[in-house]
Amino acid sequence: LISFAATEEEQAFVDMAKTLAKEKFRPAARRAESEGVLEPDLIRKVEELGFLSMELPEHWNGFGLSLLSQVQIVKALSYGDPGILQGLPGTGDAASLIRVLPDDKPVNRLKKLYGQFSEPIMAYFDLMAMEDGRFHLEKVEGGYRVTGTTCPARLAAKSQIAVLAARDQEGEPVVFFLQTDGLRMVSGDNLGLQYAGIGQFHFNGYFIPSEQVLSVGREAEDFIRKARVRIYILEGAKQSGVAEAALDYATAYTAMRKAFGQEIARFQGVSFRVADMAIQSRSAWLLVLQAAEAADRGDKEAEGFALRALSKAHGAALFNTNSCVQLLGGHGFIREYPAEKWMRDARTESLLYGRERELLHHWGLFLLEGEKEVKTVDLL
Amino acid sequence: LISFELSERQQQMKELAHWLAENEIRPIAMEAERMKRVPEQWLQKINQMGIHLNPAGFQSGKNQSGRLQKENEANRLGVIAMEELAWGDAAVTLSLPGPGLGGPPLQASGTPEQQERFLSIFTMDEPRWGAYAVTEPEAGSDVSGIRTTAARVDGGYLLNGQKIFITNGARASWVIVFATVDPALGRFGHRAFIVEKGMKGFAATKIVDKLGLRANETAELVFEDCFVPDENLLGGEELYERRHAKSSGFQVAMKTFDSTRPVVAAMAVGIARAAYEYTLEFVKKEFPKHGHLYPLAIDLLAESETDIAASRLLVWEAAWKADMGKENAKEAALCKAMAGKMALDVCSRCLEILGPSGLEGHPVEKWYRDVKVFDIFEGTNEIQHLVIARNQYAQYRLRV
Repeated sequence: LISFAATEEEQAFVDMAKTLAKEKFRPAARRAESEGVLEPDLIRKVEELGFLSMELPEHWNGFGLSLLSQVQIVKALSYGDPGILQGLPGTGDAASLIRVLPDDKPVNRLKKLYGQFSEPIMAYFDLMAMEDGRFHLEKVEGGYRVTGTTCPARLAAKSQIAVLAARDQEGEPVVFFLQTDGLRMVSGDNLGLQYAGIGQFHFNGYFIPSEQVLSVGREAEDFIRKARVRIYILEGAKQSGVAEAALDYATAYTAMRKAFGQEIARFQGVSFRVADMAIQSRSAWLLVLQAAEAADRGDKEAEGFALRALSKAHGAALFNTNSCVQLLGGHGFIREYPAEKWMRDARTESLLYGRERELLHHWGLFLLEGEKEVKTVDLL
Repeated sequence: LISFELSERQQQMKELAHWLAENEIRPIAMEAERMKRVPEQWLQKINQMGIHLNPAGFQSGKNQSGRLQKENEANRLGVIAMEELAWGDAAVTLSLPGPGLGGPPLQASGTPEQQERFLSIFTMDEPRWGAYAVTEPEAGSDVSGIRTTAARVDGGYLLNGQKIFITNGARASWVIVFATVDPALGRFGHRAFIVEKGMKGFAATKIVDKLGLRANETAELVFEDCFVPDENLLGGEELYERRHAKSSGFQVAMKTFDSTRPVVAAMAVGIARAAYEYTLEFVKKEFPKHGHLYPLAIDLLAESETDIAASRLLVWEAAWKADMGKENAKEAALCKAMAGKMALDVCSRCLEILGPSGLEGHPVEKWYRDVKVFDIFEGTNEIQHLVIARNQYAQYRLRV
């Protein structure tokens, strides 16, 4: 039955997350960005509320929440500040891979390694679509040898463990993990999401023993795809959160700010843009919800739904954050207000996760050629 | 629980409406367009099948007092059905016998007697229509500015004025007509009347030619000292007294929009989907994969499908809120604003994909013309923006 009513339990978690986001994340956002620091008490609080382990399965001491519940909470947290949310410690995007992997020996090795750190942070690199030839994975005796540079990923600069998904020289998908200690890492002053520890690793003939290989071949490809669907849906929720934050902030500002003797909201050039922001954020959010619900049901359409939802959510976040800066005028451009940060964060997010037009292109291939053909040419 | 799966009843409604659209509506659409009317024989046949257009009447029932009521799924069933029917053809759908857009205000505000009297005429013996008349030459989006007058006389009212752009206005057995008892009172002077065909002083003076929806009758109505008895005042005098708000005639119009805007938006989604599906199949069959147009088609079709899906969800949300008895003015405006514009964009993109070959012989050019009005009637896109903005700023007690 078509329904848009969250359960009471979901609503309670969302309320908690929203309160935390508004009262704690947002005031801490600037310092987190400029100094890379977040109060340990705040991180502890987030952990206590279970927000760091929503995606992890129970055998990893996680909550194994449904995507439908998670996206609502994630959106609420992102409403406070997307940068802080993306920089929180834990398993990050790797949680989605762990969620779909079987609880077998290789995964237990990863779990054991993860348990050795007091404040573990894991980064996940999905390198399956890297086309620039900068990263090479070669199958060798007893394991794999890695050379080259990864694409940038969040949490990389903070991580002790990295999980990578890539193709070897034969085109075979491989998922493996490694300890980042001693690796060459490049992490600069990014456009946005600066607290998120975005970085890339350089490898020079680095050896990965076969014990650190989590999955290979068709099975690995299946896990990677399933994880990607979950990651895309969760990222769609994050972009929806920042889109809504920008909408609400712009609404509040334009309701108060006066020019030509009246509140600027009274000018339709302003209020209609706010209405457009409301259309953008709501429509994107509903697509994210639908994708989450489809994924939870194991619907085969979930992969396509995730593509279109994230594309739309990227678009909404870009439009709304830009509009927020625009409607704040000069105030939007300066760093005393969060608008310019959200604009940078939203753009960064869209580059890390799929690019809005690239996602749409993949969705178009699904529509025209069906999942099977797209899969064989590896456009995802 | 949040869910996007159709219930059994919703699925049945979708399948039934789609069957009708595919097997009865679509086959006559192009011919009806050329003739600028839906064939009488076809209307007779459809009417005898018991098919009536009443966006407010899906799954109607009666409560203990005998008053017709909408049950929980009525609005959702309505938008699901209307998307499918408009997928078949919007002009033919709007010409289906039944109360049409006159149904929602009658069911929302009519007395039990009025509902019984005016809804019971839709029987299988012959096709009949209802209509809804608000717009005037000098009052479209500004509903509060209507100038058709209703002067109190013994036993009723005398109506004088003109209405334009009235769907099925000439053929309708009755029309819900908005008039003012005193133009100086603005919206506070509004009343809604049920004017019956044949009433003295009431005439349809013109059928207009249009950009699209040509098979559907759009009429101009004139009222010259048209006497309307008290029993035809929508809701009766007590409706206006009971609410203590003297603006209830205006409120009837506004509340009507809250239920009809999702319906109109659903129709826009249906037209967009028709154009998208047609073009998708065309590209699959006709475009070589290595041709230079294929990548263009991939991106335009993906964007279109995404926008259609997003608009549909906004429509469903507005309908769901109405079913739950929740205030849905903002959601109704959101879905109408997005769907109206989206549908034209989608049809335009589909024409872009088809190129010069889309100029004739493809239904997409017709859908492109048809769909434009969905961004205009039941409140223009600009009015939807105004409604959304007003809701957005309401928390700051700022009326924009």
